[in-house]
Amino acid sequence: MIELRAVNAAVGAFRLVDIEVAIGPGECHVIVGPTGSGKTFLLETLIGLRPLLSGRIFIDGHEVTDLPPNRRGISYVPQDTCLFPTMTVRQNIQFGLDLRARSSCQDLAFVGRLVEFLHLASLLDRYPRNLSGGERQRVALARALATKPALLVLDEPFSAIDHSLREDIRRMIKDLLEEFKTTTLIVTHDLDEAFFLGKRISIILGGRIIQAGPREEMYYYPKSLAAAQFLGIRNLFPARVEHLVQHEITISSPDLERTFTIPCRCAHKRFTAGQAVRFGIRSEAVSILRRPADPNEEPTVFEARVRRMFVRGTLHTVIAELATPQRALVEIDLHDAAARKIGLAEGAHLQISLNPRHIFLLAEAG
Amino acid sequence: MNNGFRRLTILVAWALFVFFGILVISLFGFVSPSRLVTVATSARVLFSIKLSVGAALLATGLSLVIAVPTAYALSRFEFFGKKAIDLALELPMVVTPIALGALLLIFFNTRLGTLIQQSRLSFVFEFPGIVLAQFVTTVGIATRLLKTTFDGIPPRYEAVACTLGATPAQAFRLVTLPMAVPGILAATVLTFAKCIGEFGATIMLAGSMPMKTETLPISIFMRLSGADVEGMAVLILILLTVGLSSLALVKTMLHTSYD
Repeated sequence: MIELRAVNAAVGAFRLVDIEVAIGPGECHVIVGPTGSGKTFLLETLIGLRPLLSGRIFIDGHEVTDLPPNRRGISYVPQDTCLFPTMTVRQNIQFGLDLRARSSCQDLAFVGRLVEFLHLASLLDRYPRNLSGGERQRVALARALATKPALLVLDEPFSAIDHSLREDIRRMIKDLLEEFKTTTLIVTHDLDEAFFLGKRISIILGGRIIQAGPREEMYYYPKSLAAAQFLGIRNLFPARVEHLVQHEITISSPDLERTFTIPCRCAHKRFTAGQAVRFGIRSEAVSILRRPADPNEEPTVFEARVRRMFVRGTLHTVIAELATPQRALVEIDLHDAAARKIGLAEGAHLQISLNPRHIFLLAEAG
Repeated sequence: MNNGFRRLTILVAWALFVFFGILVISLFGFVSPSRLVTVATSARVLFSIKLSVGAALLATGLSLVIAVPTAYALSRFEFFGKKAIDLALELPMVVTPIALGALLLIFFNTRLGTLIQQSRLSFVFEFPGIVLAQFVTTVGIATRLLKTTFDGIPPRYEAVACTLGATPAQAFRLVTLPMAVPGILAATVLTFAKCIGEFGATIMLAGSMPMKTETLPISIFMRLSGADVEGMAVLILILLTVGLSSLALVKTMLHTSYD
């Protein structure tokens, strides 16, 4: 179990503020944020390269706040891997073990397993300058895991890898972490990577963790406008809380000219009747109806017109203009096959439905 | 690129090369093969060569022993007085070697200097004085070169080594130092070449006593003073050979980057 409790640190004018992170044994936690949000600084603080202003860091129940990096049990793979160029792949992988007075047979067997799993046997006598980006990444992972660290830390692990190889390396890392059950913290700016690898995800913005939670919750239910915007959710509309009943909340939207009820856990804790809010929904949670429905009967069904379409490979993004006086725009993502089946084209009329289960509410100030 | 401009710049470069070439070739007008062998194998010249190389090796070693940790500290850490130390490194570059030698001579006339002189290690007009003069004029350059080398090695390498269990000293010894080898070799050769050619500070502190403190550059000066132009030309050729071969070695070692 890795815990960062109320960690504060500063470099120049930039500050990490009250960072709280908890990573369970064998869990992969991803901290995602834009460039300059403090991700790498947070890693450096966790590793022990930067002093804390306040706060505490625990690894498996032991406080490591004041320990130097070599005594924390954290292995670090920077974004450019930093393989030692004067050593062969074998020497790189065994660097941590060679520092120990003696390595046990189990240690060497474990390294053998890593080498086999990462397909490094044929590379052992090569120097890093003769390796491709993917091979470097695999060697760096083997080197970091060889010492059986309590925590593996990866900084932007795919940034130095060609786009064509990224998917392979992503899958390899996922398989590796599952096979060796390594507690892992990854920082990245890439949302795809974050949702692919992270069991739990934290969003960092301006040196603060603005939301942390399980992957699915984070994906569909951002808790602040900043988080929703960072997650790329464009379907955000002003609304007002009408009333709350148990785990349901009824809201009215002037833009959409509708009042509808959505499920909302802990609604009473977060909202009050009459409160100005925003509601949002991911573009892939908006569906295009193939069988006509009556919008008067279904409050989350709307008549719309395709205003613009963007094709990104197999994914189509449709900007639909609702047939309401405000002409609100709703973004819909759907796959190429679905778009072809429906026969979507700019100017076409259609009915869309917002899945109430995936509608989230944000306090207006958030 | 404009063809005329390209030609002009290449012409200037060649003109510079030809200028230096003419200077060197002009030496051969004063050197006959028999005279070259006679002068180069004379006891006084052989002593000067041995003295110069010996002192330069010692001064280079001393410079590196001080320059490596200094350069590393300046490259990696923020600390009190860093800017002052950085400025002090420029001293040998902004003050002429003669003035530096005079500075050393003045120091050895102070109470502390006299005390040092009276100890076992005497500097003024002695061999250690040559080493000290060469050290003072080269340590700043060696530190500058090595700082550039360490600046080119990202500290992340050491960070990674530390997370794998290395202490900061082990990370330096096992990771940074091997990566810095090309830069250290280049600094060594350049420092050595500068030491071999050092004249001003050496003559001020160690004097020009034949068979005692007469290094190659001082020997050249002494031959000129004695109107022995042929002898001087031979010594210049020897000095050129040592200096240029050192620099050629440097060229093959530079431009190594790990970032």
